[in-house]
Amino acid sequence: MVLDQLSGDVSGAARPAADAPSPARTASDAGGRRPALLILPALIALAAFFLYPLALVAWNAFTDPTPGLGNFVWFFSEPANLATLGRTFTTALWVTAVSLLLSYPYAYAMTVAGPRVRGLLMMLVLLPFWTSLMVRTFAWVILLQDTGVINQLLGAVGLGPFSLIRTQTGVIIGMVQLLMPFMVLPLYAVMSGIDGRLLPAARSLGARPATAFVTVYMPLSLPGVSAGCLTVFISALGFYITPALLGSPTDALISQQIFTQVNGLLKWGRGGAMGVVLLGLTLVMIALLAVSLRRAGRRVSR
Amino acid sequence: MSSSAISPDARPAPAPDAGSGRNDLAGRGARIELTGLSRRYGDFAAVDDISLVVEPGEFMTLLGPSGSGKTTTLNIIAGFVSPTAGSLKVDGAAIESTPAHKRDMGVVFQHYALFPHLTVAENIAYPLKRRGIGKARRAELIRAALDTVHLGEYGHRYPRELSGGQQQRVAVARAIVYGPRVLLMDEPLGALDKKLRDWLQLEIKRIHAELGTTFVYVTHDQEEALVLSDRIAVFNHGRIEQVGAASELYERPATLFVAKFLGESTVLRGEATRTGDGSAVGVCARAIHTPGRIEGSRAAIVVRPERLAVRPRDHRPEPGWNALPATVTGEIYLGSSRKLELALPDGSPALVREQAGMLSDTREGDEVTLTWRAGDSVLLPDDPDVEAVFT
Repeated sequence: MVLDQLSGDVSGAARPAADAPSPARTASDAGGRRPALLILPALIALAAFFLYPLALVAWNAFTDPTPGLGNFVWFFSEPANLATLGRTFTTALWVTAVSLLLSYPYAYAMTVAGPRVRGLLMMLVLLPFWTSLMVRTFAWVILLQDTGVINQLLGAVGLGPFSLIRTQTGVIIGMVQLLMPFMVLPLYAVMSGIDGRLLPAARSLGARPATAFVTVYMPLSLPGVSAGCLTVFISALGFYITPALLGSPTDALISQQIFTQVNGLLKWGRGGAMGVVLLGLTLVMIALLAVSLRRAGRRVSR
Repeated sequence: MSSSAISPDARPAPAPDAGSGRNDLAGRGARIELTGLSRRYGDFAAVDDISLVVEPGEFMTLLGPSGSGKTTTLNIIAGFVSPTAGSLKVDGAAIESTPAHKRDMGVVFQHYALFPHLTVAENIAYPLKRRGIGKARRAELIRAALDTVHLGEYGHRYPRELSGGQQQRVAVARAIVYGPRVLLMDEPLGALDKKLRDWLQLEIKRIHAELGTTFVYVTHDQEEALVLSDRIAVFNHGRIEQVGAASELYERPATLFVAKFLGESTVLRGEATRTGDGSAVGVCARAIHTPGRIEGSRAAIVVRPERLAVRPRDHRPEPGWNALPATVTGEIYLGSSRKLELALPDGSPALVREQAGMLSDTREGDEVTLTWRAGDSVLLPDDPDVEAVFT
């Protein structure tokens, strides 16, 4: 799906926003034309398999079945469509927030752990990559269903049953598990580059441990936070299989609606319009998020 | 921001007479007292039962090879490492259980540890904010600290825009701006090149003189220790071998390790026997006299190179002088002096330094007599482990 490819591309663009321009970059720019030749194959592939289909989708949105803004008028005049769009964004925000809350201490633990524990923690993060998405989602179905493992365990201690499957909570739980590596890895990459002597230095200067962490460590980890959040948020917007299997059909997310329009109803134009709206809103969100994270970074560091 | 336990008013307000040469950040140094201090990691003692008193305003250097426990000792004083035994007092108050952020000490690290997301001025403001010092007073103190390290115009820069030497000076400014009574420095010049190091040594010495703060300085560089210190504590295997002024350690080393670690020397080994006015040590079938006395008989005599003189082979030593035959194996011309390398009959090396203007006409290959005053022979118990450290 187009949106899934988009997420990888956009998260890469988040990095320059978070970092200050380094002199090294301009130096390598002066290095001649050879780097351009090296990325040519990738550019051709990108144009053929990403830009062309994307243009086609956008073209459909404005031309199918008749030229004009009809598809967009339809999208914004149906309350159900707007509800779906809002639900998609709130779900993605929840997934991002929960991932960040779980991943930040996890990534920090990885940086302070010994080599053996670190290796184990890293393997636990990477494990999901080695299992198919379908397998993992079905595993969550088994875990979350009304008579599933989680409810049985909760029942044993006198709690529940809770309806976890076919709810937004279930969707968020499943998506967080699938997307956490994308949060942990950039966090860990940035955190492991933070000089370990800075916290003792801050403490020697009179900062209590919590203050040292908030005033020194957190601002320095923000590039990892913004990279991780953008990757997870944008990936979450385009998720299809997990909400389809763990969510309820009445709470469908936008990717499911696009699928229904295109595959079920053969409304290519409407599907395209939904895709274009999602893409536009995503880009706006990225810009806002990048700016606000940068502001936050500056404010904390002051 | 944080309500720190440290009172911003603990230090008397600096006198406004900056023009008179007095530093605005000057204050009083604290007395530090380590008693029976140890830090064990399992079976390994990083610091092994050391006792040391640093007087107020003193420049004390902890000198020793890597792994000798000097940095661990500094970290214990700073509060980054807790001792497994012993006591640590500052101005008479026990502080073993005081957390690092309440100890009110300045720490300068080898790799600067400047906050990369803050400008130079913000870095220096950091300890002032933790103490709740107001904006106007902060600006004054930052200016005074930057002036002290001669970086007045660099406040708005980021650490990455400065050279290593400049960054280290910012680190010093940050550590002195709140007027701590103790400044701890952990090989602060270790990452810099020789020329810069020489200059910054003098800067550190000047800052120490201006502030009157107690300095505890860790280094493995004996030359640096000699230049900077009022007193030096020589560390080896987690213990303090000797504490004293540079001249004391050089002229009267207490152990063979100290003798070999500080400066150059000739070491003569043999059996010691007591005589009427000291000891005699058998070296190359000759009796070498020394006023010293030791327990046991395995002895080492240490003679500094400038105390040795070369004479012709047929030279007759005067009373009270020692003499040994030797062969000159090499000479090194150093401008202000000349070093002669010699071999004794048993093959062991000897080193002579002659001042320019007083050079003998000795050349490589000459058979000579090595002479020196009996009183210049420092008698020490032999320590076979010492060779392993230096070879």
